[in-house]
Amino acid sequence: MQSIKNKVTLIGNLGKAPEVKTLDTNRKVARISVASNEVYKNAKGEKVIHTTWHNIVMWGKLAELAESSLNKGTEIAIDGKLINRNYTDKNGIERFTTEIQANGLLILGQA
Amino acid sequence: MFINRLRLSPRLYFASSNFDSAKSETDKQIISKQFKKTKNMNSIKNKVTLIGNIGNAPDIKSLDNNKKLVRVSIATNEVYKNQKGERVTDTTWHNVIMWSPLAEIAEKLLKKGSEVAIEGKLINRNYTDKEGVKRYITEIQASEMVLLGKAPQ
Repeated sequence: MQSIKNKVTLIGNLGKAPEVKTLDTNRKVARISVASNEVYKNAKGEKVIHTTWHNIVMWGKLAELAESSLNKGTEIAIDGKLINRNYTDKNGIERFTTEIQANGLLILGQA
Repeated sequence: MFINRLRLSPRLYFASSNFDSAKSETDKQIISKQFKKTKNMNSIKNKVTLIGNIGNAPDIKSLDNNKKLVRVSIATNEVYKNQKGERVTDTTWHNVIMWSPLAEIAEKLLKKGSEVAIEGKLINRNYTDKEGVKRYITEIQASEMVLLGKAPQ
């Protein structure tokens, strides 16, 4: 029941092919970025598409699945939780980032 | 166990007497626009639900166009046992923003330590900090809020 406290669901398309790394422990980690589009009408009645990009991390079996079946443009649905981490970039600046750690993955748009 | 003590949402705001007592026609328009906003299906594509405690008193900003913006940070605790069988509590802090009319409710009712459940969407924005470094930040823009724990007196 932990997931009820911190839960994210997203539907969107992959912006690029997954980046997959194999760690020393033979565990795989895949990173993808997913765009979710929000469509609304502005005050003038024009249709506006607002895109939000999300960074998603997958571990283990999910990472293997991502490596084998996800490509640029694939439409997916994701269930996961929000995590924060910090890292130091190449200019030596400490940065904080918020990512979604996936618990479940559904590939959409397949007949 | 915790649901439905006090349910607060723009939708309810719309239905409540606040709508009738809204001062001007433009206020009514703003409120009904917000009501319409909650009715489209965009939220199904980008949805976050969090249950946790508030770490600071709400930070309130009033904007020129009569809109209010409230910022709170919410801590969610995940409890698990590690390989040695020890109990570990993993806390994640989330930056949550709320716009009117949710902001007015938050201002009135939220205090440091209040337990809340919120639903919203993920948004990204960037800003330049005082050292001139461009920073990217992910926030949760709340659309619904439920107060948990004791009802306020």
